[in-house]
Amino acid sequence: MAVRRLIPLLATPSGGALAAAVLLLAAAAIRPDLFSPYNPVGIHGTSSLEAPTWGHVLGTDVLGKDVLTQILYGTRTTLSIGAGAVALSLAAGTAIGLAAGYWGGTLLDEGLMRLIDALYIVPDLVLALTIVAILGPERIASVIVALALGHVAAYARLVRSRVLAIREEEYVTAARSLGGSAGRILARHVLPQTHDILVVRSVLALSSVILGEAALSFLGLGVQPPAPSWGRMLRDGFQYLATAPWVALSPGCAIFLCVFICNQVGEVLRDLLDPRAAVSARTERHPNRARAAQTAGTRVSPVRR
Amino acid sequence: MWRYVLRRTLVLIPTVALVSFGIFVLMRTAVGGDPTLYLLGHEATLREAAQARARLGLDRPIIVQYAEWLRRLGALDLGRSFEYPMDVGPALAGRLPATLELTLMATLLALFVAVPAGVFTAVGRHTPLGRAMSAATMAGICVPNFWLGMLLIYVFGVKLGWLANSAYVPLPENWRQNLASMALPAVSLAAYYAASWTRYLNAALLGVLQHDYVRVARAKGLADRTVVLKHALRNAIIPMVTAVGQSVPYMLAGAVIVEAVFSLPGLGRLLSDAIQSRDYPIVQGAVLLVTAAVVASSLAVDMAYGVLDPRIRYD
Repeated sequence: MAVRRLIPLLATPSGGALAAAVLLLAAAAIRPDLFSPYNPVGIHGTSSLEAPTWGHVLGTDVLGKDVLTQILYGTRTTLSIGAGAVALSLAAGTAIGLAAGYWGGTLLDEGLMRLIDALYIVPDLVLALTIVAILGPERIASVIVALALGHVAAYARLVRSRVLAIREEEYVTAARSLGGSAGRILARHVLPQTHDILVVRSVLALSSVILGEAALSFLGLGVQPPAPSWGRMLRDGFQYLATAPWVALSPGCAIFLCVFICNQVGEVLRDLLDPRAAVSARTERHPNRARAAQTAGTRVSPVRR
Repeated sequence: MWRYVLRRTLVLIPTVALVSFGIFVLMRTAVGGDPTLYLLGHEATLREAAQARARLGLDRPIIVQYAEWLRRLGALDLGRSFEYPMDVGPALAGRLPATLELTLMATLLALFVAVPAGVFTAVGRHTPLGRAMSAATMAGICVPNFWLGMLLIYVFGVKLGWLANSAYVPLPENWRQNLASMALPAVSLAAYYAASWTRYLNAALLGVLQHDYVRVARAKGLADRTVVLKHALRNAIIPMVTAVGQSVPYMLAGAVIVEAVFSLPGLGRLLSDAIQSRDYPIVQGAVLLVTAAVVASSLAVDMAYGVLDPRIRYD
């Protein structure tokens, strides 16, 4: 099982560090007040654009607000928008992919796939910009929908191709001949077979949504004040780049770290859930053993599921 | 092959039409979608707003407006901007060179880094330098391009003072100054793709190096260099063409934001400005152009396969 293989991974230095980083990120999103004595909307610097000191580790912005506090509170905004957009695109994309795959080759499949193609050929940020402008950036929900739409196509294609293979399996035929309805077969027999690809895909989608949200906010169409947002901090700090670089450069570091952590978690999960990737990663780590095993016609440390 | 290209193009026309129709309808039915609000300001009377809507043709049913837009498109007329006194076609054409140059420079730059780096991180994966380069690619795919752009401006502009004279100049006017003004934007757009394509080529090459024909090539005593560069790389590069082709839409999206950071007069800036001011004809035209570019690039990738791998045939 994947969980059993997760525990030894956490004991390695890099695995432990990654787990600690994820926990810290979660803690910052849930209780930012534990990490900062300042009020995120209050003004507490003695002056605006104060350089980093012990009192304000990352300095203050033009309004005299503590930059570190803004970043900490921005974690919640970023992660909740990210989680919302990923969940929405996951639900919509999976539903479309299941339907298109199960009824593959029919007019429904054709229609859904043309819709997915249409979503796919519009660059994600262009799509998000247009949708946010249409729905109005005042509401966080419109930012979530706008970012989610860009990922629906990827989920739908992934699920559809998996379903096309699964529906030919004998147990699906058996379930159908026993009179199982399409909904039951999809929910009980098909959907559980897709979770491995969906989990990995979702973590990677999260990092891309985080970047997308920052980009939207940077262009002024993301989360609106007073909600703290890393992208908007970058936008506001950009004009003081010459005099107060810390205002713009520190939220960028936060975005970078957040995306980095997501990508690393995604890679770990892929190794755990995708046995083929795990095998190649193992043989890669022991090239000589792998070569010897290959010539002997055996596999190195077969992966148990 | 040309029959294949023609067939693919015909299949894609409904998709592009769906995109343009979707955006057309959505923009006009949006809550805050009335462009007269932006054109006339808040002091305008209802009568003035209604007159403006009639002048722009916005008082007719959406289907009629869309049919009219399609009819004009047939005559290569994209309509007239609501906000600026100019036609959409020339407005787009004026902004296209900067975006085209930016994405082309970024692609070349990324390939220039990714091909040697991909080979090196595969062949020298057990050396310290190879490991360091792999770590650098991991960082490269996490850096937001607009932040990288800011960092570059900070280092080269603020600290080193090299950007004193770096306003955008069109290429035909002064190519030296043009390249100077495009260098940093191209680097910030290219960084992600350089890193991501390096990883892609690395994985492809490691896969290819395990094939029997590579072992045969080694067994006949060929130098490592010949085996990797001549036998393995040529096969590993084929999946990478897909990666490059699939990156085009994302690169165009990236251009939107890089152009904003470096204030380049490109298509992306035009589009994001037009979206914010509800300039429908510009948005419609720009999205059409961008989707056409995406479709064209995916076709170009398909055709490139045939050139790179003679086993691939089109029926």
